[in-house]
Amino acid sequence: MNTYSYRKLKSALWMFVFSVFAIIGIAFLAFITVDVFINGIAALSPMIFTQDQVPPFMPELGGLRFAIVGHLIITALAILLGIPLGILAGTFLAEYGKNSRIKTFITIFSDMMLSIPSIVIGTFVYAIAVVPFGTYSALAGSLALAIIMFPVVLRITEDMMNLVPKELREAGFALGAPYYKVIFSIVYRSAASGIITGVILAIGRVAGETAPLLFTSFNNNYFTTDLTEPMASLTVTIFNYAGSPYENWQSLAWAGAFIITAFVLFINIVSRLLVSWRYGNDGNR
Amino acid sequence: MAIGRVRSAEETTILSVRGLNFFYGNTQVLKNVTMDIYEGRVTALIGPSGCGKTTFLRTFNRMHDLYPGNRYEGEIIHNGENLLKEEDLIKLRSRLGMVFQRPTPFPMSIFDNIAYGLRLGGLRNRREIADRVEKALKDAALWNEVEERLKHSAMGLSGGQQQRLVIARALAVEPEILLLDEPTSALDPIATNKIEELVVELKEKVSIVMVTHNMHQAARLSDYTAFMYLGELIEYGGTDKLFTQPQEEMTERYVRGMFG
Ligand SMILES: Nc1ncnc2c1ncn2[C@@H]1O[C@H](COP(=O)(O)OP(=O)(O)OP(=O)(O)O)[C@@H](O)[C@H]1O
Ligand SMILES: [Mg+2]
Repeated sequence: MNTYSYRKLKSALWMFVFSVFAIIGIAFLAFITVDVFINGIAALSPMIFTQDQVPPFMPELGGLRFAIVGHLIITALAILLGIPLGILAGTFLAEYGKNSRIKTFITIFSDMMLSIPSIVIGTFVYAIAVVPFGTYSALAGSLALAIIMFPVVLRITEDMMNLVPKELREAGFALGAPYYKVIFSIVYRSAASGIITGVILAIGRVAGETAPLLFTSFNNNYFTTDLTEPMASLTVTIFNYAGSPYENWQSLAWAGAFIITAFVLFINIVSRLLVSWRYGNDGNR
Repeated sequence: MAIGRVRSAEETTILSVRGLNFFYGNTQVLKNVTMDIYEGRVTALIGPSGCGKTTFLRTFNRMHDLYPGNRYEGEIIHNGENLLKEEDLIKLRSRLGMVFQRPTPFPMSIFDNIAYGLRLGGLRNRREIADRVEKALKDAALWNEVEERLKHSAMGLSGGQQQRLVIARALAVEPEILLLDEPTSALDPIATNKIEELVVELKEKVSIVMVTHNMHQAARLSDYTAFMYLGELIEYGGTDKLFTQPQEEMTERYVRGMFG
């Protein structure tokens, strides 16, 4: 066999190996998604959004209102907490702190936080926000999610702000703008679509979390909006229902899985669209 | 050749540079520069790459203060005050407009770009802002091209239009001095022409200091030319004289390099 056809054979062989593994990976993903969608949509009904939990031995199916509302509250609060802090800290690193020694420290610290498993953050918040108050609470759940979001938002904010050309800032200064105005009216505007994309990805990242909530907001069988009490979330409820022996609860778990998957998928698609809008539009740099 | 030459005896000094040294950290980049810049004139800074033209230009509006470790020595006197000792940089910078090599439109509408400096200066009256935006755009010879799309993003303008927009933005706040750092080097010949015409018109209103690599441009546009080499001011004088009868051998060699 001559070397040319030998190389061609080798190349084809590798291509085959790569393709097989890619197909295996994608097949599993597709299988999970399709499964969730088929079972989830089958279990979906208007009641899911209007009714709360009914005990398993009752004839009614019940609904997930308590878990959906709880999930939205916990996530919204986490967003309110984690995103402004992440943006401000990222701004500090990209602007005021860019020559300071504290920057190295914060960067290392936040990169470490990025790689901490979320369950560890859950136990940490358990120690600082659950034990001292003697109760699980929605606030503790939000805090855990906010801590997970923080380094993601910080990193993306810093990176996006660093992409803004130095001359653009200088042009602002040259007109006599004070630093904070240069940041707000020039740098943020230039970096906006990138930062927004990062923020949305961070939301998507925490929207599907279960582990950190198990130790913090825990669970609640009843509808509540009291932030100082344990609060149900979709993910924890799915976890409980899926493992229960009751058929109506299992079917609700499918519906919940569908809702959360669709939500995260939606968030990811939105951020993809934002990215392509950002890079696809020449006029906008 | 250059337009409206006047002998320096009849000139009013607007900036008086005395013994200026500048250091990036420990590296000295400007060495004992002394020269006067005259009101209502175009002064060109020429010299080989890396000789310190940009650095010099940026000392006037204290751009170097934005970064740590930079140090000035000497004086730049303006209205009897040393600019290098001025504490209020915001006020100082609003009196000297600056235009960079690459256009720097802000990511906002054409109108808001021009209004930016006006609003910074505390102007709130909408009518007055609109009038001054229009005037600045007319002064920068851009009005006819953007009149219909003032609310559109400035990012959609061509490079040459963006550069005139940036000039208009600087003019809107009515600075006394306009600092231009190679304002045409990123532009095509037609856009360059427009900016050059603009520079000639503008000197009625504002004193201009302009860095250029293009010696034809210096010869065409400027009244005075300063030739710099390795951080030193080698020769400074009327543009005609500097280009036709340079006093220093180094100037002659540099200038001749271009006339062939
Ligand atoms: N931020 C900086 N830190 C240290 N050295 C610098 C810095 N900026 C410029 N220099 C150095 O200072 C010298 C003068 O640079 P400057 O940009 O003023 O030159 P220039 O005459 O404008 O050159 P060009 O024609 O290429 O624009 C160069 O040797 C350059 O390497
Ligand atoms: Mg330069």
